[in-house]
Amino acid sequence: MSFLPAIMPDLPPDEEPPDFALVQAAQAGDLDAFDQLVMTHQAAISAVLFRFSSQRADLEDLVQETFIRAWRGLGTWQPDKPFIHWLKRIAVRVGLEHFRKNSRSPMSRLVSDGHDHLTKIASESPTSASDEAAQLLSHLPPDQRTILTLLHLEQMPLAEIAGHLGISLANAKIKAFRARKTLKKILTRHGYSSF
Amino acid sequence: MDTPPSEPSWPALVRRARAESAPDLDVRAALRQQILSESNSQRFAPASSGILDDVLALARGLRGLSTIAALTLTVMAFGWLMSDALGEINLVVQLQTQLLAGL
Repeated sequence: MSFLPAIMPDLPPDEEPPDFALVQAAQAGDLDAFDQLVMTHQAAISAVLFRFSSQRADLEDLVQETFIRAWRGLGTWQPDKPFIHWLKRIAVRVGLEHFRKNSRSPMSRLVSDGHDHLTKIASESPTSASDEAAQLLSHLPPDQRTILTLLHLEQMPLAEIAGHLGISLANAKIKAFRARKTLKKILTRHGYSSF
Repeated sequence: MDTPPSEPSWPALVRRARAESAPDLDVRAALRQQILSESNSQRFAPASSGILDDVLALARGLRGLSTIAALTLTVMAFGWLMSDALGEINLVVQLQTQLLAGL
């Protein structure tokens, strides 16, 4: 069963994917070829992972981790799909793990829910809109946070998100619905007008 | 007269967040360093722990097998001894029977 979204069509069978030669060379141990792949795609991967962390040091770590995993797993790329699609899938998983690692424990959520979050957010004074949005989304469980981060901030279609997370579209829709419901409550509590 | 601050809006916040873009990063040098250090550590790693694990597992297996073999031999020897003992008892009983019959 394929979860790959319709917006990422398979390549025609006779057409060699643009990164094919470079990936083959990199698989054979050619670091210069891998360098070229990184140079081509690091902006796109940084853009996706920027939604998971806008802090430069963390972002660098996440981008690096994505490409290291790609290097280790070059042999698993299926050339019938674009290389960037495969890379984004790795990046989303790296991002999800980052959220899991930094997620609030149920206890801390319970404690913080008793406080005035407007005061909390104001005192932490997020430096950017990305930080402010991330702080609000951080109250969601990591998988729901990932879905809404990609859906709202990256404007990624739900079908593509489902493909990256390896879940069915129906499952992604259910998770997104629950996440939106929870986010509405969070926004109301924080004094934000909802969507 | 001061106007009350407007309610912050999620859609507006999202719009502003979307407008922010990732800084220009170049991780190539760091990646190359990490890849090279990984391949070096693999090259100079002491004899693959996989093989060591296999050898240890084999030794453990052999030790298990030898225990079973020793137990089997013990049981066999005991059985042989027991059959011998039973033979001896049988002989004594037979002799005793013949002796009693002679009397």
